[in-house]
Amino acid sequence: MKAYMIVIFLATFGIGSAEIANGIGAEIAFIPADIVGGMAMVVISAIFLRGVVSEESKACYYVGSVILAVFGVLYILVMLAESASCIMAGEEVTISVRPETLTLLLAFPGVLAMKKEISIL
Amino acid sequence: MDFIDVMANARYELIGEILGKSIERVSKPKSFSDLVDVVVLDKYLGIPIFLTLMWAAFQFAFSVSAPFSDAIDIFFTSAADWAKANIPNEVLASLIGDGVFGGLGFVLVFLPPIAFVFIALAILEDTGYLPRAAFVMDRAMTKVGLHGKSFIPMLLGFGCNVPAIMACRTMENEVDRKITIMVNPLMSCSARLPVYLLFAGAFFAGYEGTVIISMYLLGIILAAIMAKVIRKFFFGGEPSPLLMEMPDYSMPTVKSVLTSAWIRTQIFLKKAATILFIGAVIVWFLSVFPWDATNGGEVLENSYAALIGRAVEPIIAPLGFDWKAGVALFTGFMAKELVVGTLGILYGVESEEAIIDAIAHDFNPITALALMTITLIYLPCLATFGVLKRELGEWKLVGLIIAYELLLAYIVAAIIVGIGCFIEVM
Amino acid sequence: MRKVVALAGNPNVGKSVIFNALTGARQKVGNWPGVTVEKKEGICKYKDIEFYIVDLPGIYGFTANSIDEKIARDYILHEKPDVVVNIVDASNIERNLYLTMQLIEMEANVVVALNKMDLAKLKGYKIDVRKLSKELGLSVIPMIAVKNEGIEELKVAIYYATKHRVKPFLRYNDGVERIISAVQEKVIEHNILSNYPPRFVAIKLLEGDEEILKMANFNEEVIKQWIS
Repeated sequence: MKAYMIVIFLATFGIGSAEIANGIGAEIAFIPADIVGGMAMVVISAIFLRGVVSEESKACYYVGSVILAVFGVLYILVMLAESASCIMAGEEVTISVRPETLTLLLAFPGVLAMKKEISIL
Repeated sequence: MDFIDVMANARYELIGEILGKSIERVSKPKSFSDLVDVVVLDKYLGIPIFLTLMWAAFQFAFSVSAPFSDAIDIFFTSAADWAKANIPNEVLASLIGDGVFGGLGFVLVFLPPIAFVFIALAILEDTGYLPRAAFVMDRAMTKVGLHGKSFIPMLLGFGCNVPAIMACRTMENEVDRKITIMVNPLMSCSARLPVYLLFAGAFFAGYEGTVIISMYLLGIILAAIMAKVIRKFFFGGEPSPLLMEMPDYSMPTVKSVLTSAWIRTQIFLKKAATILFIGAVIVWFLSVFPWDATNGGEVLENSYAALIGRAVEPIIAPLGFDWKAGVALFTGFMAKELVVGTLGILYGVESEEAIIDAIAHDFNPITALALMTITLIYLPCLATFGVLKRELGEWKLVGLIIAYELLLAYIVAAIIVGIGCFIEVM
Repeated sequence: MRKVVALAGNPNVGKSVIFNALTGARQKVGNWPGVTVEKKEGICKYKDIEFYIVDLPGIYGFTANSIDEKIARDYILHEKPDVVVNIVDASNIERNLYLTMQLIEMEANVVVALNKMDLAKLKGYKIDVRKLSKELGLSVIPMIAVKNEGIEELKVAIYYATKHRVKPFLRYNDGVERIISAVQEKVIEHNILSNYPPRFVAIKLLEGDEEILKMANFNEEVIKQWIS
């Protein structure tokens, strides 16, 4: 589990810092420029980092996964909303896929493990 | 010992007996909620997690509701056009086209974001997260002179200040309670949202979410400052310690969330159907009469509304506003949504793009920010005013609130305009 | 035939969920008269009876101090609902039963909805519902409202309660009972507030409840004399 958490930490921290960097002028490809959104990812990465270095790994794993999943779902909804707006305005549907929708996949193991633990208890 | 304590003890004693015969403690595993709380209530992660979740809630509310707003906008624009083209009587056509569909319809465009904010709030409530947020913010709030228990009323203030102020009754300490009530109007209620959405959309396209959340944060920061100031100069003392009950976490159900959100949204709709409708008609009336002088509403400068606006103009002119903004802010006293409804009528347009063009003419990004800030701060709406009087009791305190809000609004707006001009000069 | 059913319980016990499950779309929201506290009312039809359900504010007690408690208390004492469904959080049962005790003192016709049974199990509690029911002298319906479990059984219990009114008597310890009896005798003797249950009046007078003292037109000194 800790090894997996390191992976998630690196991914989220990477994406988060890239978004912040793009927000203040850098031009990293495939990553949107969003200072606040980037900060949110960095906070999530901090949760996983905490899980790796401290005793409360399981708690951090669950909470971190849930919040990561929340953001993943959020951005999917945003994508759908933007497409709907385009359709209504009669324009072409241009979808901007954010990296957070992909990190959603990373969140699944944690969320599933959490659900399992709840039902067992 | 008071008999009240004797009775309480007696009841618990009996409860203990009854439970002793009917309950067995099988095991005490560390509950799931405790496990989660280890992270959520953490000294360092707690506040960042809170801010992150709040931001997600706002993003959800604004971005995902956009297509719904677009749909409503299209509907009312078409309806207004239809009315103006098909109703023979000119005055009636104007009333229905510009007044009703224009003014009121304009406000309803903002129904989706409001509804989505309520959905987000309901989800946070049902999961059981809110008391944790209150706990996490308590440390920060105490430093500012606010009591941790005021967190939830303050949060409710983001929906509407009226129930938020009433929710302060749960605070036992009178001083804590009064201070929380007095700064509550600075919590940006949902009625102010249309103003932010309009101006952020017009001048800060692409960054709406960030600008709007800054307004909310500004409100929070100002509330913090004013709480400290008020406590220091009028009450003294320290906030009392926080004692709170944390329910277990639970999975919110779709049904329950939608029901809560619907109930709160209903209140907004009822308001729309009554006060806002009447307000829109009044504003329409003021802006197209005297009919001949304004040529059916085209020459706005000759209307009664212009008269009112010009009376207020000298005060707001230094900030870069004209009489139209003056009228809009004036009507905001009845209900904050009318600020936007009035602008809609005054600029004589119904659709969102058209009004954005019209506004771009009279405002610039700096004055837009200043107007948003004034809307945030300047006065409680009529309904809030009533509740303030009832909850605080003394006119003195209510007067103090109005005074500080007007002053603060002017000062902060002036600062923003000042900084803006400074940046321009550079 | 219509019967009035009030829902009472601590905050956060699942009252809204149960209210919604019982009334569905047949509900309306308003305010309690004169205040800005939300009032929810709804209808639930069961067999030949129409339950008119009122959701009382979530409260911890029935003092006259907070507006929520006052609303709930006034409603139960004055409107005298046919049934009071006391929603109890099984995972916090000790604290929740405090309200139940007071409802029994008020001689309300109580049905206990024991909600969040899953959470109680999680916390390691094993509740003998039948024993609890026997000890309290009331119907106790175990439920998990969010999973829709127990709603039908609750309706049955409410239905039964409208046909058969229960009046359990719970005895506190001897010392307290002696004092209560003494005051209760005086209450009956002087016919004080005869439209309220005498035991309830006695307990409230002893607790120094402002409202009851004012209505009965006695002050604390007199009460103190009675017990000495």
